[in-house]
Amino acid sequence: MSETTFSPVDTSVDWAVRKHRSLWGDAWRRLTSLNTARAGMVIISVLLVGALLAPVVHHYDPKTDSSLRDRLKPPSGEHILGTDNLGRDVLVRLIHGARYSLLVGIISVGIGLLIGGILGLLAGFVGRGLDNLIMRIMDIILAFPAMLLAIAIVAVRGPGLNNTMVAVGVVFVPIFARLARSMVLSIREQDYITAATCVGVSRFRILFRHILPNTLSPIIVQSTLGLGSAILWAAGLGFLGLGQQPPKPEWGAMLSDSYKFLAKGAWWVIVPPGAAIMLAVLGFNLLGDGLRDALDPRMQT
Amino acid sequence: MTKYIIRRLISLLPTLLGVTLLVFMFIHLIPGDPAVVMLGEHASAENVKRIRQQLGLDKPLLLNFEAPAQALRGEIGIGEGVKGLFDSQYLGFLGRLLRGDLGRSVHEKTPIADLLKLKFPATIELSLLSMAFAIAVGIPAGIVSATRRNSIFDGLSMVGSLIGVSMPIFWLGLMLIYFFGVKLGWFPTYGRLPVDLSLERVTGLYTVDSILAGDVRALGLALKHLVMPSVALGTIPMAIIARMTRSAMLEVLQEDYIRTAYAKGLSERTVIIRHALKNAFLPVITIIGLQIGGLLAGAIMTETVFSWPGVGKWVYDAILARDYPVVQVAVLVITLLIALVNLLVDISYAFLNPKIRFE
Repeated sequence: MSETTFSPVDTSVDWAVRKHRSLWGDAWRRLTSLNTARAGMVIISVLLVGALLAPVVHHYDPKTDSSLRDRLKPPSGEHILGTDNLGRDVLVRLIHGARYSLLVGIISVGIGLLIGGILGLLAGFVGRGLDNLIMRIMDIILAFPAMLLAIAIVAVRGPGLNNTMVAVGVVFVPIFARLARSMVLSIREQDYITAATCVGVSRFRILFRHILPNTLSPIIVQSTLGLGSAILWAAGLGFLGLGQQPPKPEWGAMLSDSYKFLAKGAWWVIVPPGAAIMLAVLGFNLLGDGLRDALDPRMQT
Repeated sequence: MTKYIIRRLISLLPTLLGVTLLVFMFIHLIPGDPAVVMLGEHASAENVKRIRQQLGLDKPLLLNFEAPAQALRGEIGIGEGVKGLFDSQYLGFLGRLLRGDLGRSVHEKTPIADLLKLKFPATIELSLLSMAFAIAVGIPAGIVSATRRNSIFDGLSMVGSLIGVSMPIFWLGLMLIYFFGVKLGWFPTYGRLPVDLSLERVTGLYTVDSILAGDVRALGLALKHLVMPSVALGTIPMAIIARMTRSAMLEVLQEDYIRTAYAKGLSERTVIIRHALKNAFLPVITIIGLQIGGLLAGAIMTETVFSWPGVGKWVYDAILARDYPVVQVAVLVITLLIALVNLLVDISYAFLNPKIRFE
């Protein structure tokens, strides 16, 4: 970079020969410059650390963890967030519960992304009859309100964490299918696809090398926001007694276990699990919004 | 305009048909024999048979190919064979629906249609009030945020709305019950009216019924019971409406005609309300319409927390009691209602925006 040494005014940045930055590097820089996205990342990191380290640091067995002498004790030095109706430490259960929320979020978004993504790519790429068939079916699923559909699926398949993940995953299928299809439709009209077709690149290679990578950023955004919704819906199912079953410390199930004790004034059994759900969802919403801004190429000016 | 409405109605039909098919298939997703699952393991063979017959579980699923085959073999007449083709579970279900026969509850044996008439007004009343709350708070908050961009109010209301969309509504409901019900004792924590109060049922909307009866005390009590469930249910739509209003207003406020309006000396009030708000309203109306789906689904949570005797609590109780015909009908009714509301939103959108009407 010999030119920079001759620059008379500002030698620190020479825009003509600015160091090349990758698309992802740029996106990362923009993301970390947003306060909201940073807040989201902090919340999610805390959640991840809790979920990953909790079983390493402290083995938790919900079946043996009860002490009837310590029932419904308010927060104190010994139990920072108090104890629930079976004398279990609320904070310990809260930290171990992070695993379930993250697990449900990741698996169900994964199900929706995989099935919906494939269906959407097929619909957009093959077009015609298949497109019509797939998208009509997606329209039908989308006609049901998300939470109601998840409740209905768990209601017939039976309560539990596995069925919760499947039910929430099904809700995501049409969302990702629509997204993937619309991305394919807009990208296949681009000049570089025409160029690739002209030089004789196979349809298969065009799909995987040229179209798929360009659908990534909206899919990343949607997945992040989806993690938030999945956690919210799974907690809702847990609260209705249809999700993870007690005594496992899932946050929704913790609320459903102990809300009867609210009338006795035991606010500490209700506030922490709900606040944890809210913070987790907020974290993913903040990060998702941040990613949307950071990954939008039109922002690169 | 009429043409547009008709076209939209026709395009809705395949989706609605698909919805009925999916809701019908619902019972067949049950692992094992649905009749046994619904009645429990200790059900008598007689009861199981009755339920199987009532639900038509002994018939083929979509089409009965046995009948035309019999007709071809000459065992029955051609006419009977053709008619028999349609003697299937799904077409029977669809036919009964079209005749307004929603079937019977497994446990209560009351016609579901009667139960629905009883439960539905409670949910409608709650949803309407929640929406009123969401609009009354959300739109002004969005407008003020947009006009005082980057002010403290803007920051607070946007943080508030982010928290609002991230909040589990059942938890919000529980917190409201704790603070305003248990601690402060301002509002009743469950039900629609005190049990000892009876009200002549006309519309089923207790606020309307109490006005019709001229009973001021009942009206006050009905409203008091509505406050907390409506706030809980209305918070998410409120947050979304506030965000949408803000961004729509910000976009409109950058237009040249807004600058012109200011330049010709109109007061800020007139510019905001007459010029900006009118044009920012389209996306806001769409988002309000879309929230109605979320409201009806959220009613399951809210009604369960507040023991509100509406469709949501009904579905929840039916799920616990494995009363699947009730779940089926309730899911179907809610979904159809949402489809209709969305259609109305689209039509009103076309009415407000000539660009779409003439496409």
